[in-house]
Amino acid sequence: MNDFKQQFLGDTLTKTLFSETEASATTNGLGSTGSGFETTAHKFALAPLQKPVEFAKTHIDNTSETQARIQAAHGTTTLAFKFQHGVIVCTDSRATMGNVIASQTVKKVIEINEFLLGTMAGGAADCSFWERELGRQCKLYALRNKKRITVAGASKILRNMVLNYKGMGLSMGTMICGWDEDTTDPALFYVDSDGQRLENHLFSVGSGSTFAYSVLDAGYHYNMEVEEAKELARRAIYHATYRDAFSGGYVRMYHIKQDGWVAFDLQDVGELDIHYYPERKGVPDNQVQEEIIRPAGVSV
Amino acid sequence: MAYDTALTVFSPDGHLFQVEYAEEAVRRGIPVVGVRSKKLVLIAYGRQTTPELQDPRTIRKVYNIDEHIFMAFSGLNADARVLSNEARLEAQSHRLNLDDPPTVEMIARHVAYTQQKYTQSGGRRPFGVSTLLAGIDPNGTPRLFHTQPSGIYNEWVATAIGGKSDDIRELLEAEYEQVAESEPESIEETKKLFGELAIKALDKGAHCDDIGIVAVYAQNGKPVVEHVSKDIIDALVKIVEEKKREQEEKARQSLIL
Amino acid sequence: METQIGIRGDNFVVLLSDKIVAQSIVKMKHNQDKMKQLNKNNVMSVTGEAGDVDSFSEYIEANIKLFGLRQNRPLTTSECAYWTRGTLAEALRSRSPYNVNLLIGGFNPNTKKSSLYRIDYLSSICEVPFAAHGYTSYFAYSLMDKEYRKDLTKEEAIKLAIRCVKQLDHRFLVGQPGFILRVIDEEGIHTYDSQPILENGQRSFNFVNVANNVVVSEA
Repeated sequence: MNDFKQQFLGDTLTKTLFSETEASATTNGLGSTGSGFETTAHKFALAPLQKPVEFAKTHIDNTSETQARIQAAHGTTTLAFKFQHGVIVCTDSRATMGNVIASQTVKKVIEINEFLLGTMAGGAADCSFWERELGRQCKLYALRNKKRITVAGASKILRNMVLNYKGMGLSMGTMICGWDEDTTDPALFYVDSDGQRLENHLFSVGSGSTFAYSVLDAGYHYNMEVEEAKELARRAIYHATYRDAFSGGYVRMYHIKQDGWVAFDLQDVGELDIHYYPERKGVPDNQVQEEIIRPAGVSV
Repeated sequence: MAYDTALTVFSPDGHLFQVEYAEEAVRRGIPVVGVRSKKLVLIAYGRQTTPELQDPRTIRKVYNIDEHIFMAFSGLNADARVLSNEARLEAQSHRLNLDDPPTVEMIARHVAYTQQKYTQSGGRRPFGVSTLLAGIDPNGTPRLFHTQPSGIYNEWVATAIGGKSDDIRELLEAEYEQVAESEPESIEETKKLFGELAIKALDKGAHCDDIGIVAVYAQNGKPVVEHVSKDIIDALVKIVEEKKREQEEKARQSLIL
Repeated sequence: METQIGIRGDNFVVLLSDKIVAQSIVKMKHNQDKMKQLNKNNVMSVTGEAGDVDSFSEYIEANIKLFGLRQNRPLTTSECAYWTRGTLAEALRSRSPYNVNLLIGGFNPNTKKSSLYRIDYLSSICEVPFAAHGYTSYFAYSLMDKEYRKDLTKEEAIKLAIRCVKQLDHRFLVGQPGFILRVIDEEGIHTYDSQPILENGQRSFNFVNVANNVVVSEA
């Protein structure tokens, strides 16, 4: 039990508080619990220094504010919201490294299992590693307890795992989305590498999130039909990619229903631009203007 | 080789004597009966007669584990206290780490796991207790589990632990189905009906002057652990005694006839 | 940027906190309850660094519950407060201190008295008649200094809390649209939610009792 607390609460609060003598006799040094879940989660070696946190701070940067050796890739628009028919999860697909677009076809939705999806914002490695680890723990939970873990439980496991590395350079902003067994409502949680964990009906994460929020907040209501919800999500991502330099590529969309999630085809945001604004023909609107007023005889 | 002193050593015919002695300690305990209905779980236990100058309130036969689970035991009092502490810690740890209350089975498994550990490593002795874990699962289903010193745990609809538990179980096997079929709508009535069965079963084990009953059920979607009031228990005891007398009377008359 | 206020009367405590969870310039959530009900008679309101707030308060909550189960009695307010302070102080001298500010208020059913404790992130603790944390304290303290009396009634205390909220809305740069207010007295914990916009669209500082929909206002 002591190991248990140590794993999930950090180094300091390892004591079983208020323990009576007999309680501590049985709890000390007996390791993992019988009914809980895996307590031997990954432990990474820390820098062999007095203050590994300080070392991490000066060498890994996830805010673009310091000149550290490792610059975590970030810049994203991801969103998820609950509505009467489940959860819509929607992301862009651009990865940037500084001012270079590293990829336009990144998969920022992580399929934890048939019923759970996680989104990726911040460091791609951190998100995919920890959500994969989460998938392992969820499977173990299901095997041990003959029932699926709740979304609340899964998101809390993830929160507890990353909390152990708080301040050590992890960069992760994720939404854990799903639909619990025997419930009528879908579930949505936000978890980040600060150890913040929130439940709400609507979240957007990443550098384009402010743009996405503005579109979402204007059109969101719980009693949407599926098509309306998908269109709202698509629109929100599209407008975020239009204004945010670090977001772009394709709109990737998932719908979580009571019996699991379904994925939809990718949609190129450039084509969406033509779809939404046919008069532009895929040209940014200020240039459309220029074409019209350009004097004859001037070559481009 | 002394197979009955070193705990971790099997006897040539595959016994762990210390574990079996622990089970003997349970057999010498006061009987405890647990019954489950569709709506509730109920546990009845006899209280030991206390010396006149002792405060009876300091004797605990039932421990609350969480808002929706409680534990009764038979065997060594002191060992049960350790197990209950372990179970409480596990329940709160589960809530802390998974944001959900544990199921009754998770707690039963943890108690059994703790008991098993003490049968396999050196320098320890097994717990001299069997426990009954009764509770309402987070989805509203009543559950009843039994754990043994060896670390075995099983789920039951009705069972007994402690002295004469075989006799009691025999009675439950004969009568449970009929009672369960006539389960009333209201919790109050169900409590009385199954309480009566439990008291009757308990009486089969040993005559107890002082009986305690604890029930757990869901009310407005929230679990309630209720220590049934003395008035209700006394009334039930009277009914059981009356029925017993009637039956004896009938038996005598049929003999005379 | 977060608000929490506490006012103690003779046999009750009023706690108030905002509901916003912010991340950099974005409000991530508008309806977060920043208080933990430790047991039947005690409430803890927590603000501070993201992550620390949850992990610390959940840990405290779980241990206080565990204590209640083991001892078969609920912890008193002073026990909750001093144990929490101790835990925070111990963490402060470790590799991973918690950056949290707390108010713990409660009612003691044995002595029939209430108490309010103010604990900050450096683990200082003080039993006080009224308290606030953060920027709120710059606005609320003078008002509470002026209006506080030992024989404050429950209604007067709630109104004083609402006055503080009103003043924050008037002078404080950062607007906070909603608040949760809790009253802890002999009967237990009563929860009130703010009603920022009335049905007729007017701005209001009214609070509604979540259990019975009774509205309380400053007037």
